[in-house]
Amino acid sequence: MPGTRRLSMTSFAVAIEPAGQPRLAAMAFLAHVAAAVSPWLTGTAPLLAAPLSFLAIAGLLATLGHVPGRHCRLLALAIDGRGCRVRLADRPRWLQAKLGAGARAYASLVVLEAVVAGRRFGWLLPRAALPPDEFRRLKARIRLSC
Amino acid sequence: MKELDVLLLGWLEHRWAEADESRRRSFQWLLEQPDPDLADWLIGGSRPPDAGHAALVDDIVCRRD
Repeated sequence: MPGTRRLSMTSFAVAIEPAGQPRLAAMAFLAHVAAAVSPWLTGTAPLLAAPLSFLAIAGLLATLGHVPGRHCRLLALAIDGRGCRVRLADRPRWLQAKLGAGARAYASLVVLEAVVAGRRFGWLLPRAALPPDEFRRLKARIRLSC
Repeated sequence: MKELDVLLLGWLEHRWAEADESRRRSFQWLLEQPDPDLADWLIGGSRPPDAGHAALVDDIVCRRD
């Protein structure tokens, strides 16, 4: 149907189950630890340094929860004629989901957000996390969904 | 290849909305093709055998030029 950016559910089939991304996790870890430590190294007053460090550590946990690997609850995503489905770490079955509004596709990074029964799960996917054609189809799907 | 992404997703951004159904189907077919074939068509100057697919490749390449 010309005039709409939405896709039919039968197009751009995507099925991804990214491998763990230890390099991305390590980079996130180092960046957040540096952020947590820096207030103390720069002589910031403890009353300010403590909440800043707390925010950095909370940010680290949230970020690691989105990096494919053992900290991430989202294991696999499939988008095809049956809609969008995900598999979570603690559930044996595929669950119906939808792409969240927070999903973004950049040149070498996809920020994926899937909503399952009102709860949000996500991935940070660098280009190396997926085969090139799968990464391209995922980006196309997200760009048309936004 | 990043250049393939730029070409294909650029077309998607700018031409998808006004594309007819057959052109959209061609684009979906193109997205399923392996990178070496896409590179031959979009960068190397060859064309896929199907006329509809070839017309889409022409359109994508024209946007780049």
